[in-house]
Amino acid sequence: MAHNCIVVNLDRCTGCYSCEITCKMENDVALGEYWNKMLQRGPFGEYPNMVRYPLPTMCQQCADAPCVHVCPTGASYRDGNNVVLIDREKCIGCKYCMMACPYGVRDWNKASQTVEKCTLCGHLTANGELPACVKSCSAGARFYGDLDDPNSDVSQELAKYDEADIHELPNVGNNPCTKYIMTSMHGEWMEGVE
Amino acid sequence: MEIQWSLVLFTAVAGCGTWASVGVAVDELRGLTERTNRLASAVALVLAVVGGIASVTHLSHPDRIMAVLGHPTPGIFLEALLIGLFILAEVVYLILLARGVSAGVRKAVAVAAAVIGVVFSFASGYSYMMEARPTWNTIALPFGYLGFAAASGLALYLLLAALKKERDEALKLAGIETVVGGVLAIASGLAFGFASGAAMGDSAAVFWVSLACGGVVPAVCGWLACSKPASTLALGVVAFAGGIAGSVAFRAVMWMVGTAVANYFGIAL
Amino acid sequence: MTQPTISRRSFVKSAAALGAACGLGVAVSDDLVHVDAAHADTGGDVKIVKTACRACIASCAVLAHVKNGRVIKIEGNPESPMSRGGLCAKGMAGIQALYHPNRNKYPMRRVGERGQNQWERITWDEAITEIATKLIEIDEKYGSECVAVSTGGGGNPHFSNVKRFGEAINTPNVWEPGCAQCYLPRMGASQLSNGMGKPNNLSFADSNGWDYYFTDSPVDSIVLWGTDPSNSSVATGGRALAELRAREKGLKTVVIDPRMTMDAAKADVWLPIRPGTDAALLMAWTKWIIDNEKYDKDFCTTWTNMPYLVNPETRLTLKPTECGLEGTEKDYVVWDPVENKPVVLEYPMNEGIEPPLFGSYEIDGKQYPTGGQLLKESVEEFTLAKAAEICWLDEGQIEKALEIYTTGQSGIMQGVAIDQYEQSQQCALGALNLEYLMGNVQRPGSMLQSFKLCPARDQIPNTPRFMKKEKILKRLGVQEHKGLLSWDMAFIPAVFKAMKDGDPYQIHAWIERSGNKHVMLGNATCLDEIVPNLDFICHVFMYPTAFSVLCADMLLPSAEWLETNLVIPQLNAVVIRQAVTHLFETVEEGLIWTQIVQKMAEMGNVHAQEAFTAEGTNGIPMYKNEYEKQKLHLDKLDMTWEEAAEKGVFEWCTEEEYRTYYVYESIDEATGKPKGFGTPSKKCEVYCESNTILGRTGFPWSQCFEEKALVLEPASKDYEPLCYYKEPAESPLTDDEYPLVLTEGRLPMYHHGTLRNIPYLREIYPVPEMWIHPDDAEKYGVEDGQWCTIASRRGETHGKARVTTAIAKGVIYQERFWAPELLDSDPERAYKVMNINVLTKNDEPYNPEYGTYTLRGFQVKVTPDAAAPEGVWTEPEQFEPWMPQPSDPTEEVFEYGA
Repeated sequence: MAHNCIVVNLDRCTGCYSCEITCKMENDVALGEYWNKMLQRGPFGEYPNMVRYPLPTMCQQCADAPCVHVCPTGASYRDGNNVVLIDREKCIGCKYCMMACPYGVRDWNKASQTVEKCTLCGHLTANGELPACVKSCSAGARFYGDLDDPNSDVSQELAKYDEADIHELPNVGNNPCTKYIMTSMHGEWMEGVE
Repeated sequence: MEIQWSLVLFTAVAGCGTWASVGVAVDELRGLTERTNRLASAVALVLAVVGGIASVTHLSHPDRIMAVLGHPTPGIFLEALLIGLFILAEVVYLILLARGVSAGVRKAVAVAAAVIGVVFSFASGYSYMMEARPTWNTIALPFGYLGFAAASGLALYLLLAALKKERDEALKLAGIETVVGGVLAIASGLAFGFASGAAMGDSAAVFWVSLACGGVVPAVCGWLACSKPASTLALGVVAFAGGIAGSVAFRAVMWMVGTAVANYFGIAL
Repeated sequence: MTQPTISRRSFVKSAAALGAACGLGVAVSDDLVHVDAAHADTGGDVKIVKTACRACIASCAVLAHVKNGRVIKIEGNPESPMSRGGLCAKGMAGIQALYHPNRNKYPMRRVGERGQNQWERITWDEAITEIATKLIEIDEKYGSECVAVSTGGGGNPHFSNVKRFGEAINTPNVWEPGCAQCYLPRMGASQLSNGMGKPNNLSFADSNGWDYYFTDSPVDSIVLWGTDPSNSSVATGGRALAELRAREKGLKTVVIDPRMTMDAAKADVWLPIRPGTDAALLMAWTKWIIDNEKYDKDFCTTWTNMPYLVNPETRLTLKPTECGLEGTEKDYVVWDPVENKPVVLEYPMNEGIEPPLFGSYEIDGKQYPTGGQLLKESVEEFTLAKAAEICWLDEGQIEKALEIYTTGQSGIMQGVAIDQYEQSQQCALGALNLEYLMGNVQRPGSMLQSFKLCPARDQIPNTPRFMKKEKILKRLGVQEHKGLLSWDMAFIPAVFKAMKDGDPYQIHAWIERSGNKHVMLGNATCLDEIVPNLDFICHVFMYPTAFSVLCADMLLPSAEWLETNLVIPQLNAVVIRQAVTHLFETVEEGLIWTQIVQKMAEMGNVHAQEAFTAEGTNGIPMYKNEYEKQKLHLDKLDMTWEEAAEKGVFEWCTEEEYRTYYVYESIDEATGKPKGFGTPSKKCEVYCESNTILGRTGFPWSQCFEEKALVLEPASKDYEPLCYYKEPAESPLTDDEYPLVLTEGRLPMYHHGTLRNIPYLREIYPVPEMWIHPDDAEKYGVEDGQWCTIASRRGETHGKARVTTAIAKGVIYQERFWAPELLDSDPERAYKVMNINVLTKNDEPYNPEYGTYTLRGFQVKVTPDAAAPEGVWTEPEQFEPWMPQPSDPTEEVFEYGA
């Protein structure tokens, strides 16, 4: 089974917000709504041992996606490629999936009154293109592909790094597919650190 | 996070109704009351329907609600199923009452309704147990939903019994049931309060108010009703008012402390 | 998912309300444009056009998707050698800028009083005729120098065009607020001390440091001195650093910046320097390198003027004739340590002689120090401890940074920070000297390179020798600040004095092309007193700004980058910007300039007529139309515009041909000797006597029609050949009233004063953050997220506090900003409410060479506000009125020409 996702190399990412606006332009996401949001983390610690890093966030394509599990109508579902998606036509707006998502990376579309989120730009990848945010990433920091395919862009990028430099958002059993690469260049990964 | 009032009202009102039916079932078994059960069942039915409607107001596309049937999963499907079955059971019970069918069948239906109601009150809290929200992810939460529903529902039964001027013995029983409800609310409430941290955090004030209103008040009133059946009406009013207010407050506290692992987009529900 | 569903709502009717007076409007639609409901998506093919962005100077290659004549999507073009398919938020916002409902759509003339914001639409012919008539009138009545012309870096400008326009209408008073405050000092110092040609200096964001765009560059470490490529050149410089860091060998970095930028966050050493003290740190580095003998002795001996003896009386290098040796005024003298005597230098170096870099030597009883000795003496006091004290740094961290810089191949990128206060030239010279000491010149992996020049050009050179001596001498303020002549520009405070007081003559008209002078000028409120004295002000831009409303008498709509053409050299490739659409009656700025000059010529202005002749203009006559313009840009590239545009991105030579190292060692066929550098000595001038000579004569930049080297009177004080440190005029060491030092910076989603009206960008960064250290926040009662008043001796403004350890203690950081949403209701507050440039200085002391005034490193105080400033939009949904209103293409206004 494929596990398609975005991998972000934070050693490369400059926190330029290109992915955020690119996503909005591509997917016509309204003002005040997000499928993809760039956050700034830190600084943590004392000079000279300080940690600051950018953190682009979006649907993490969890292997055990709680959103799919809790959705009462099947609006949150996995497609034939195992990608977690939302069928807007089936969404009753109960927001149960938004409660169940550990990261708050689902968007409430005020106009359609349904839940939406990153689709991995399925309309582009279906034609062999990359997701818009990956394609135009200013720093070449975003990668897309199947974690299970050793030849995919994500696997190739991850293979360059030690286990210790590969992170994920706090995992509470949902097993996010998205990985964040961050080495000692930045210092310590602080997501989930109290 | 923001309090979802539709869902608060749904679980508090419907839970109150389903636990009123417990009073009915207990009495069916003991056979002490004569006039209350019809009223209590009717009220329970109304409350279940009102609660169900409240839950629908939470939805942006209730027109698509039937899709729920096509995707049976725990959580919302189970709640909908249980509340539907409960309503059905209450309707059957009321019909049986009206037609004066044999007590055996009536008892069975009353007990079935009560069991469904109790499970519902637990399930309506169980739906919120999720890894994404560590403060909710404790079995004390559904027990809390059950406990406060018990206190408010049994207090309601006490009130209705007093209104119907039942015999002292019946009122005493209802009083004891209310004490049991109050104790359930206190025990489960405390368990949740400490498991989630609500008892100590920013929402502590509301939490302790919920416990006092929803647990202590019904327990004390129920206790007093046992010893002074003559004052049951007043005590029933206070017990019910405290019970329902506490139940609402308890659910509100759940939302207030319901922080996710992270909320990266910062979107309020 | 289908095509992005940009709402397609508006359709411009050609018969729109000619002549109706109206406000400029921040609302959805202004009264000039009728809007049809729901212009349906009627199908049609999507065409992908290769073009290039101009939301900032990086000009990243772009693929524009066009459907039914409308741009529906932009993405990065992976063929670009610099941005490699990346595109930043500014570029992505191109569609929102193009179809902004408040674009300037037609030429407009003010009706009613200035500042009342009442306008009528006029035709281009009326506009051009009116301007030409005014300029001729002023020329005849007062002299053509009484017209000032200005530009700026933001919003699809073309720098050299403005200068060419000034030359054509015969005014020397062309200026822009960048220049002495941005890039000129770094470029000028490099031209003076190594002369390797114009674009070759330490400014990475201005397309230097070309070797660093190739990941096989042997660079081990880079020092980012007051620069943040991740913010200032996101998809080019920022990307290049990302690629270098991601190599197997990685890249060590040192960041010197009061802010912990995203580049600082990745650095091995971050030095949060006190703004305004860079020279002290540069001098300490110099001393440490000399004391620890880390310099490249061979390079310093052969390729710098460090061993040259200096005459203390002239303060210039010693001439043979001054010490009894045979030789000419063009010769130099070094010391022969074996024979213990002075010898005339035989370029590049006398065989068998290894002259000392340091020391002072006696000739006929007089002491002559070497250039190296004077450098050493100049930095004598600057120990690391002293620098740490002055710069508010940790001594150990400074040393750690120096170890990185002096181990392996390194390079310094120097940012705009040092261009923004009195010591601009000093810091630029100081940093260059570090690179010369280390021999970081034209080596693989060094910042300073002399790679092969592209046969095409993005800037058509201006023609300073078209102007007569009499006019050149009227250029304001350059007698004292001769460095400005490098860019043929006037000194802003002198121009403003002339505008305000008529001293030495009254300026009557001002033609301005840039976003918002009220946001970009130091002490911007000074415009309030200046503007009433001007008879005519014309503003050329893509959308109205505070300057349009408060100052302009006429508004001309210029073109967005998606509407314009340009040839852009990028490394060994050319990237073509080509018009993807054309809206309303917008015109590319260059065409506006030439139309005015053509009209003046037609009306009989002789100077304007000469601008179109080769003889009058040193062989580069002014173009008359788009066709001629394209040919001038293509220059020696053997290709038509159509061919170039079809290719979009193409290589003009191979990577190997392009990356030419050690060019100074290659043999000059004419002399049979190494080519050396572009200075008079053909060496890197560590002892930069060219700077001193500039101050005394104007050489090498002073020129006019009559004289190739126009000798000017000396400046009031010598320009110093070496870097020195001077405590900022307003200093935290002595200021009790204004205790905090202010610095500015760059943001990845804005460029200069532009794009503050773009919904998706304002959503990300709606109002300026005022960074304050937690210790200072506590001291001044400031809470995170709270609005604050920041005050200086010039004025006060507001910012939203971000309490963070990402800023040095004692320092406040805020970026330039304005509020287009207030334009209609309160245009003055639109620029004052959160604009750091109402605090900055444009008064003395100035940098001697360029007249740089102080935008960073001055004193402010901070007090918390009770409430947010009224009317400023902060919530995403508030920006809805600015969402794009796509419209169909229109015909170009002026003839193409071929």
